[in-house]
Amino acid sequence: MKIELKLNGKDVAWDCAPHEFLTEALRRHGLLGTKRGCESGDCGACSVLLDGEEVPSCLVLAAQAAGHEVTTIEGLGDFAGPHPLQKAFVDHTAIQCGFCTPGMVIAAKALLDVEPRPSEHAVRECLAGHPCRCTGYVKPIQAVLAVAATNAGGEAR
Amino acid sequence: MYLALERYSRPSTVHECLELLHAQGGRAALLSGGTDLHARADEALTHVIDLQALPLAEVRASGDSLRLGARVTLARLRREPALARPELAALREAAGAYAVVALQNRATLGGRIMVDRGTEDVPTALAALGAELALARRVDGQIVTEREPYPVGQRARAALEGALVCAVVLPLGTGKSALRRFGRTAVDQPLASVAAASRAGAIHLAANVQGPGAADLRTLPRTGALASAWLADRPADWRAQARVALLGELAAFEDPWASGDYRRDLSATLGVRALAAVFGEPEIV
Ligand SMILES: Cc1cc2nc3c(=O)[nH]c(=O)nc-3n(C[C@H](O)[C@H](O)[C@H](O)COP(=O)(O)OP(=O)(O)OC[C@H]3O[C@@H](n4cnc5c(N)ncnc54)[C@H](O)[C@@H]3O)c2cc1C
Ligand code: FES
Ligand code: FES
Repeated sequence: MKIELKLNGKDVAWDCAPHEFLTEALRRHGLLGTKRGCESGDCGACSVLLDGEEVPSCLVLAAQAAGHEVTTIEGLGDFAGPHPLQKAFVDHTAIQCGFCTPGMVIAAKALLDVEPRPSEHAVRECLAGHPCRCTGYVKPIQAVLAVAATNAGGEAR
Repeated sequence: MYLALERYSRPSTVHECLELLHAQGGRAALLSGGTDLHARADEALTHVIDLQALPLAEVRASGDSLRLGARVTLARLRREPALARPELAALREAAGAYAVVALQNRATLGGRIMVDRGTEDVPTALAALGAELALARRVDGQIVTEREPYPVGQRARAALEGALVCAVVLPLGTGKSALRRFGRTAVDQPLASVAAASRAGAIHLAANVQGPGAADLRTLPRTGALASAWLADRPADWRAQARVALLGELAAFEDPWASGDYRRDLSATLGVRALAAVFGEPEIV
């Protein structure tokens, strides 16, 4: 089936099988920043923004995303021009293997877009669905709070 | 993993939706947030019917009731201004206790009501709040709509079978409500949750126990009747009396997670706390 969506600000039209999940469709089209983890909604590694809200792309069929706007980690920034959150994660050494990081950054972006200066509690709640097996949580929380302090991550880019 | 899924539909009317469901029989399923359906990914499912284009996401207060469309997400329940009322606190608390943000953004009221015959925190709150369900079904080729009191216990499976949940309708008034729950960890399903609500001069209670393989949502009318008499004036030992009444009405539900006695006692404690919150009294003395 043919689906049309807005992906990282650009209109795309894809051929997808009805059973294909958004994680797979994204990765098949080269967007490998969205990770395939538990595939059951538990780990947050596959999080993307769907119409600005964080969702687990492993529990969204590609067909369900048709007509909607999807933002992946690649849509936030890249090596040459990282998003303030991406830069803050690097600056705070909030990354080791990096497998959980795209999901955490996406979750933080969704939070800061609606709440530019969240409390630490709100940051903890937003990262709660993102278990990390190597870095832990203190540094990611610090990274998000640092961006919140400058209020830079809350600005649309 | 879906092995047989070969068709995705996105109907825009209730009629079209129920016709599609009927035409495909047992191999088709309604799809709302997908947090349960996709996580289970039934291997035999051939067709999913996505509800996203149906006009089922409204939140509308009219006079003495509030209508919440079945596609309203749990995230929206948490932040919806129409729910910022003391009598609906139990529902906000239940939505806030659900899983994590990304899942709250997807999971919907309709899905929560249909899964496991509508047990868990949100249905516990709905049962105590006196919710009604607006349902649509296909009967003899016709689409029939009906309003049903929130179904609990044995009634639930039959009442919900084959139905499209269109909305939840909540009575509005001047009362208060509260939900108290306990799970072993922040991410586990609760071992028990109890909701209490005061409405039109009476107290209504619902309790839900849940564990692997079984669940039980029930209302507690005898304790409710007793507690209603305490709305204006309470005896000094009302907590002890309430506990005895609750223990008499709650099931001793046993499974590998907790013994029956433990769960029943836990539920009684949660019930007393929910009542204290409704009475405006300290929960722990
Ligand atoms: C990681 C994870 C954590 C979870 N944690 C919790 C938790 O903490 N608390 C909790 O309560 N649940 C939890 N769940 C279970 C699930 O998220 C909930 O049951 C959720 O509310 C389902 O809603 P949905 O909209 O996603 O339903 P869907 O998955 O879309 O549908 C579920 C079922 O309901 C039917 N259905 C959906 N909408 C309607 C309708 N309007 N009319 C008729 N039938 C309908 C579908 O056909 C399907 O059978 C969790 C699930 C996952 C994967
Ligand atoms: S892969 Fe989607 S939540 Fe784990
Ligand atoms: S950095 Fe390795 S899992 Fe988080």
